[in-house]
Amino acid sequence: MSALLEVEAIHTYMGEHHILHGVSFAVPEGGCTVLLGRNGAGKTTTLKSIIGLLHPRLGEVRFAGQAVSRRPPYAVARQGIAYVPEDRGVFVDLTVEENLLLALRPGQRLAAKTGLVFRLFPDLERAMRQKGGTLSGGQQQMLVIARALVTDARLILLDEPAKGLAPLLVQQVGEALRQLKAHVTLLLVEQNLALAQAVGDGCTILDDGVSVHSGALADLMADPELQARYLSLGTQGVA
Amino acid sequence: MGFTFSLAVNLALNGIAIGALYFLVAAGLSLIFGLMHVLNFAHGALFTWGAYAGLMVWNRTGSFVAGLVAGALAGAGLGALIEWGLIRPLYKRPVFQILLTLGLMLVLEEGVKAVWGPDAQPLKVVKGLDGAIKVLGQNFPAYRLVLIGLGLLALISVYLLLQKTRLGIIIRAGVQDREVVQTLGINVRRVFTLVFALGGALAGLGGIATAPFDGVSPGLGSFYLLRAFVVVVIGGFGSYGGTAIAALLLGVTEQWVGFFLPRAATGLPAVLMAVVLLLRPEGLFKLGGGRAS
Repeated sequence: MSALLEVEAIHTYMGEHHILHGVSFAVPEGGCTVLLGRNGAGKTTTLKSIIGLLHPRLGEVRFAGQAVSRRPPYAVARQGIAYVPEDRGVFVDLTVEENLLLALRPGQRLAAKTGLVFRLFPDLERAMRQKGGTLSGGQQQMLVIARALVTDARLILLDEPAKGLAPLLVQQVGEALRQLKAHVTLLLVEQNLALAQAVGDGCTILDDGVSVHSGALADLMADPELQARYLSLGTQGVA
Repeated sequence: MGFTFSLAVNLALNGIAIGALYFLVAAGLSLIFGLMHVLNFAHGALFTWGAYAGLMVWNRTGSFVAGLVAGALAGAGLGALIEWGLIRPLYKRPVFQILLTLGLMLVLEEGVKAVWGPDAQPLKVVKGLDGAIKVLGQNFPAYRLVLIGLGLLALISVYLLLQKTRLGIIIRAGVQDREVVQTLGINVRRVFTLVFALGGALAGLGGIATAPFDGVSPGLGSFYLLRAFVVVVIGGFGSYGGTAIAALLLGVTEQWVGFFLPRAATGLPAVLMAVVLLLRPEGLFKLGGGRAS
């Protein structure tokens, strides 16, 4: 099966800082691929390089067979990639409904899309007229994921969606992601191994800006030596 | 002169009328800074150009309404041109933008003198609006009520645009976080030119609306720009409602202080701004704490 997303030896800089030194991995269509690695390994930079917020100087990102790595974010998004940023990205002064409306392409109607959204995130249906900023942290996370879903994306990039949430909410996010991956492919950056394990199928490990391992997540979980080498277990979990 | 009810009403209404003018300049300044992070020093010059262009059309056609439309159009056209031709290559270089818009302010002001001459244009009355109207039993210049109405109309129109249209939702979202807007498939740069045009239209409208109130001179824009900056700082950058309230606050306070302590009036905007910056540096009506970037 050919991959939905192929990241090929990308080198990304932030200003003069060389952050990614050759990151390569593939995301198959369907399921959830987890991007793991210590703080500062380059996980967020990798997601930004895919969505077009950063442009790799070398290497290529291919989505559904098309090169996207020199394109602006709005063009990448229209190809079918959505992005859930680490600090959530809820528009706090917009209502929940307006947050979702933004994700529509001109001419589309929100009512046509809310069925699945409300089934996955029932809280949002009651909060449609509320300002985004009045939602709880967990609800805001649901809203951003729902918004990504409304864009009709084939691939959703999620940057630590459970970061800073209480354990019960982490479980809820995990449950939502498990249901979500039946509808859309996920690429999940996660430090919390328990959540990663609950949702993920495949995984790629980054270390110091380089992709060092790709494989099934189950194999990683069964290999304490590999975990110890690349994922400092002491600092995992809620940052 | 003793303090009377009539005086209080007059000072308040005057303050509101002047506040309406401040609002017309400050609204564009605030939106442009909020969305594009551009500090547009040339914004006051749009006010002046709107005033002169509007006056020219008013003189030619004899219609004040045609003058208002021309002033707004001149401001809108100039605003769009500045964004499209000059600011666009500089979005990643904020220091260059400041130099550019500062220089542009001087060039546009000199341009007004070159086209229309350096002298102030005499006050020109609008037929039928040069009388007085009774407000709360007091005589009040009719045209100042028109100014208040015009400000209110602009306030409501732009409010509806921001609240009820897709463009407005994109602008409000972009003020908080342009990057996230882009990742939703929206080319936010296409909105930038529109916002410059909208801000320019409001400033140009304010410019021509000043003509029957204060007269028009080449330095007019600088006077209003200074106060608009104060208004935007007080109201909170990018906050539309905050801009409106701060404009009224400054207009009314200036009138009262100007009457009771005339020598303090000139320094008042700076003092108000300093107080707000010390107590609430984010302005009175900061947008609810979103992402900083």
